[in-house]
Amino acid sequence: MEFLVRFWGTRGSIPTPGHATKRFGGNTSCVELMIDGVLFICDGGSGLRELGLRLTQQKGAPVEAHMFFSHMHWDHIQGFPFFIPAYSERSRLHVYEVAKGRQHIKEMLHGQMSSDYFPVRFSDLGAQILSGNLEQGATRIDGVCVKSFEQHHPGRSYAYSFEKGGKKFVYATDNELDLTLENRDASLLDPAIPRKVPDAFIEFISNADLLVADGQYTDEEYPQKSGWGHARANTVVDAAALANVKQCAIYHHDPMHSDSVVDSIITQAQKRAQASGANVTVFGAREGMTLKL
Amino acid sequence: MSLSKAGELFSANDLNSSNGMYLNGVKVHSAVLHEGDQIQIGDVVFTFFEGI
Repeated sequence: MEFLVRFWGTRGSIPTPGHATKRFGGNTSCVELMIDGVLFICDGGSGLRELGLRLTQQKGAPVEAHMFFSHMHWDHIQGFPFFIPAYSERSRLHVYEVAKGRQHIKEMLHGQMSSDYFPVRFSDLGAQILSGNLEQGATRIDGVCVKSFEQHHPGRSYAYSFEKGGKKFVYATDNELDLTLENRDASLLDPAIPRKVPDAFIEFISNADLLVADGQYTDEEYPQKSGWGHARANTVVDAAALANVKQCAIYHHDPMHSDSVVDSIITQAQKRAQASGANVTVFGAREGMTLKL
Repeated sequence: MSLSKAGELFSANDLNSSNGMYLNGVKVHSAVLHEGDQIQIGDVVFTFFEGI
């Protein structure tokens, strides 16, 4: 069984090319999973463009991908019009909805390619683009068990988990976990105290081999950005520690954060993980990094 | 482990070794390298420099 996870875009909000962000990367959200040869894609930020280039260069066979979107804000869909496999009649792209019977995601992808925004229309794409629905509980896709979880973000967002062969991966971005804390006020007054993350989220991420989670803010900057839909990195660490997560990638880096700022956030997060006594490896998600679960 | 170059980017790739390859302490299958990155294989640590 082979379970590979590759980061193609790790930045939040807007692409940030340039020298100051080149190590963690400037492309917006996109993570590729290759599970026993089956391709899953989490989010279609600008990183999706480069994934498309790689698929085009490496694969002689038609591209078939199962695509999951945390939500439809720009930084999670803006790569789709530049995803070259979408232009090939040989490609099949499955786009999954959480809400049954809706085609919301397909409609939103269609909308961002209307002629006011983009020269090629969605209806002119060559690929077969199919809407799929996730069932309540779990959905099995080519032998992979996929679950969804509703998160806290303006307009709503979803986390997804993918399990096969005893390995579990969770993608949980754009989630203001801090809004859900049972001791939110106390944790804002004293960031050092352990944060009480609701059981439902802990259960969803429990025992993950890899959790990729939005940890955009420092403890210091969060109070000014409460309600913006993103979490403190240290809150993610507390959740990972509680949930017996093995590896936790801090993700959705703030566009205002240079590599050195992200380094300092990760260092703080690693210290907090160590102090918790949990056996979790914390690191910053980096473009071009591939992990094997 | 192998090193590869694509355009201007260098990558380190684990060739399915028994004990794995670590990038700055994180076990990875492959990674694009940047100035100062440390790759560990067994007891040996390599530091990547982009050159002058």
